[in-house]
Amino acid sequence: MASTSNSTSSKIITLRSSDGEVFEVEESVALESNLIRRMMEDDCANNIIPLPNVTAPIFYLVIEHCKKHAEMKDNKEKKKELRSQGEELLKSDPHTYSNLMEAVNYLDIKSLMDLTAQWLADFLKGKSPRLIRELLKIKNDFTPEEEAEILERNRWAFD
Amino acid sequence: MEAVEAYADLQRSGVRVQAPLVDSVTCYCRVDSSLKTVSGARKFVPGSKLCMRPDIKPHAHKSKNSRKERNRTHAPLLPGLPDDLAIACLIRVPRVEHRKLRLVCKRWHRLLAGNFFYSLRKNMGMAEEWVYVIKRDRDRKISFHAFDPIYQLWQPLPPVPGEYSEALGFGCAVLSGCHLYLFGGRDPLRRSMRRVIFYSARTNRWHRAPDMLRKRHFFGSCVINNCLYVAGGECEGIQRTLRSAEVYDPNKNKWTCIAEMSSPMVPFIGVVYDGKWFLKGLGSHRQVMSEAYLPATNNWAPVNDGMVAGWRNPSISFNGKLYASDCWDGCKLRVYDEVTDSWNKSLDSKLHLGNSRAWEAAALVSINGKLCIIRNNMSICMVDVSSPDKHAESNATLWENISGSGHLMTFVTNLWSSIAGRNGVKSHIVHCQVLQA
Repeated sequence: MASTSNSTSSKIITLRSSDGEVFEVEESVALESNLIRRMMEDDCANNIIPLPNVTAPIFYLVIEHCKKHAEMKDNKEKKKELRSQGEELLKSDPHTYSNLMEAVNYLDIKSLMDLTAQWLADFLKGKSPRLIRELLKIKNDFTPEEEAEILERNRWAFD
Repeated sequence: MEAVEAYADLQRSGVRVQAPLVDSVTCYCRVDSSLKTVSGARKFVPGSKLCMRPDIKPHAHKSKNSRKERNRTHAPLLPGLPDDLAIACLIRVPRVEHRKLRLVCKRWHRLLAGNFFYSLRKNMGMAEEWVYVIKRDRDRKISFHAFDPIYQLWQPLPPVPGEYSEALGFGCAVLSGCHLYLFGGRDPLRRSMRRVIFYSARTNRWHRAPDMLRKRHFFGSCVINNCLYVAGGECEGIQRTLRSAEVYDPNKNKWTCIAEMSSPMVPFIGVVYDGKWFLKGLGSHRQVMSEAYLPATNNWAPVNDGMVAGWRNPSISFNGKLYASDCWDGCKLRVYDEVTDSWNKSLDSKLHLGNSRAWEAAALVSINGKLCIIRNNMSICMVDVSSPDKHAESNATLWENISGSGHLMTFVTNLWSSIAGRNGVKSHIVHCQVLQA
């Protein structure tokens, strides 16, 4: 994805978040976003690129993770560390997680999309349906009879 | 393949299906409105179009309980996230967790029992393969088990439907990668059967499929181009062995007759190799004979070459090569060499386990690109036959045990059976297949 960015890595791109904050980002980092890449290809690189769907705090997070992701490419330890951060974020601040994921999706950053989606998938592992509902604020819309029926039909053990 | 078609449909309608980067406006209403029942799921097979276009309103699919429908479209899969992003997360959850996820809420339950979800997993390369074992226990009852090779866990499954609970001589095959079919056979009460049923790894349920045209048991079967072929065998009430053969196409949902074999046969071994279906069995005078069927020309021809001569159970056609067990416990495999028309090559684990019924190699299957040997005691051994190692023939490190003998379930049933009485019938594997989901 960032193969073309090496030759011009010193170039700085200016971006503006929805709440008006202006960011200066290295081109190699900015180009991780397919959205920004497309905008630059359409020749708006000389101006400030507006990002009407992303707020400043979320954009900070995105850039931070983009950089981390670039660093950990060949580092398994860091990869593990980054993958384990999702658990904390989802537990402490699911709202920020949702915003981060939506921003990543909007900016079209594949590596971070994989990462954030994997966070949630990992988060669900080993948790009971009740705990999942509680943590993610999902309403249990099964009637007790329906729940019993599904359990009976599948007959698998739960802790 | 239905998944491929569904994928092509998505592409035609211009929707990105790469899970990481999805359209927030995409409409998944069809998934919700039609996949809640088994009959609904059938509507969803090849050719049917997914409503994926944002310009179609979810309410366009009105059904009798439209209010319910609307409420459902309004409740997100994950509060705070658009559904497509939620799905991008959920398809990454390992299969071993899926049963649990189905219990979270109704929408998750519907999503995780549907073709949409599993087609996406397949297209994204996230589908996982499990080994499915159909076993006859000491009490002569058929039991059904699944093994997850990644987490190395045995999984409970819904029991095999009644008509197959004590059946003999029935066939077993996989169509579309995720449907395990049982067909024909002989029930002690109902005699020969025409019956066809299948288990879907997606819905985790058994379903009915159209009956075969002819009742038969102890016949041969195979899958070519996702069509199920059956041939020969016996039929209760008729004294002679069968010559007839038929094919089932899941897309047409129909059985049709194909050319009859040149002579009647009760096959005991079969394989699809080099585009042909080879069958070896006993003829009407109990003589050993072999035939090969070529689907392209719809004809049978007797075979008498080195391949059938040295061919024995269990065997498998894997990556264009034929493998067969060369030792009772499958600790050694032989490979067919087309050039010399002989089974002169072999792979040896150098670890002989025993000659008891329990250690008998019951089946060879392909899982995650490796060859697996499954023994009657449910132990599973994986061999990396495609290893470029020059000394692969005698390299024991290419062999890996992924499941020990006698997991708890087998242990308990075996213990119980041995208390109940040793009547000579030992538990053994009848069929073994691999399903993706």
